[in-house]
Amino acid sequence: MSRQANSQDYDWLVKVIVIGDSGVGKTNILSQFCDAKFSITHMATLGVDFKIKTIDVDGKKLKLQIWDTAGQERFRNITKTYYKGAQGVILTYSVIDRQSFQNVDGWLRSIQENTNSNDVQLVLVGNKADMSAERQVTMEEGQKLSQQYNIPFFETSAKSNMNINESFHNLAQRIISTLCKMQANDDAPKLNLKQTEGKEKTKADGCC
Amino acid sequence: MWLTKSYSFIKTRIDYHIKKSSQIQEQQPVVIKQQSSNFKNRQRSTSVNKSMTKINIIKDFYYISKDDQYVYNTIEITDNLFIEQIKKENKILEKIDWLVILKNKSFLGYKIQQIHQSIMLQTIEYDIRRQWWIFASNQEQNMKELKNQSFQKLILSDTLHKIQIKKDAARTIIHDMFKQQENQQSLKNILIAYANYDKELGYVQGLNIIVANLLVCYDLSVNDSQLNDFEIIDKDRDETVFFIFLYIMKDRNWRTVFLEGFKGLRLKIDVLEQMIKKKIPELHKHFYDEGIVKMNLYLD
Repeated sequence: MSRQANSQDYDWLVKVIVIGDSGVGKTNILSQFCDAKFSITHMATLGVDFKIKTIDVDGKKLKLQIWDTAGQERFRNITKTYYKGAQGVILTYSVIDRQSFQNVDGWLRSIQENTNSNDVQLVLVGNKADMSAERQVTMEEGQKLSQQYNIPFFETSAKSNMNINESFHNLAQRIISTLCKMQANDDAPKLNLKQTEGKEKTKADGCC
Repeated sequence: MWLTKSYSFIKTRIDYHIKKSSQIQEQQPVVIKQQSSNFKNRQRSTSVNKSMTKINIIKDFYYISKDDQYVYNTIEITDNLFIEQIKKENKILEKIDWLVILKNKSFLGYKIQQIHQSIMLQTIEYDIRRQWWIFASNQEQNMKELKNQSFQKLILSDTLHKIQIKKDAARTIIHDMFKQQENQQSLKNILIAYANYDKELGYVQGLNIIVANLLVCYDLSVNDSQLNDFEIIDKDRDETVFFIFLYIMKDRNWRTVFLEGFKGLRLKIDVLEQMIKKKIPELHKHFYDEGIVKMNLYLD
């Protein structure tokens, strides 16, 4: 994982991936959250793309490295790589696309196959909630599914910026508490800040 | 007379067919020399002068194809600044020449240098370029190979990829022309036709962008502002673009880039990695230091 030169601008660096069927609005969720932008005519994501945003959670600066993946079946083999090291997953479906809701099970299975599911925090997101006329999946169905798997659930709209920040903050909070637990249990957790700082310092000494 | 042409960093590749004749075979390969017309250029070229001549012509080979009639010549041009000496005796091809070539479907009577320089100088007018694409993309033969199939039939067949194509056609707005519904429909049709033609590949995201760009390049009203006030009926546009696309995918073998497992893509990334290693070793080292030991790993 890449480290920024100045380690003081964040306390934690975590990797979050956004997955879900093609056309559910993954890229728009991301651009709304990171850049407060929404575009109706967004190009399909090819392979993978990522954005970075630093947020405050409980007084800690959390730097989110958010990976946007391609939804099409053909790219699923590639996207497996991107599960590696992910601490958070935003699993997205579209409330106006029944199929994408039905495929949530498949996505959950691929999360289980590709990650150590105990360390990964999930959030289920039903996007495009603003398009009530074309709705194919009710809020109750979404809630029922999320309870079945015990995952927090949000209905969002990347267009009207509804619940986007809430979903990410919910995820971030749970990631932090897992990280704190891990740090408490183990003296050498995966993401040790001190280690990072030490390495940065030697690097900085080298070039200055 | 010295001519300067700028290229983007992306490698340009020119392929063309030349009718085999004794006159051509005796010719030396195209000579590309570094010369500069102004100081800035001179500074640039002196620093890279040594390697330039090597890089300019990576491959310059003759390959005799199946029917033994055409000599296939490939020249890769990879530099940013490319200067070519125009030999006075080489007449630059004019509109009439291109028409003759298109009519005879052969380059008989023209020299490699002439053709090369003319392509470099982009002397082909737009309307001829359109015909040239049809000629160069092997359309006639590919059309024959479809046998009892045709573009129109391929559009109508059903494909599993239809849903995905519909989703993507609506969000491939790379140019204003796709704000019109008919053009989106054309994009959809070509992709559906290809998915039906190449059942193994079907449709993969990314193909939409290639086809959309071909449509932009081939559309008359986009490229000829004089036609703005007219309503243009170009019935064959979609079919021609389909065959150009077919040529890129099948004859130029770009389909392997998109096939399951991305074999062709891996190969291209390998080549890119080797090129970075050779030409920008500092960058390669930086990647290596950051833990990117092999670029292909990101496809596993």
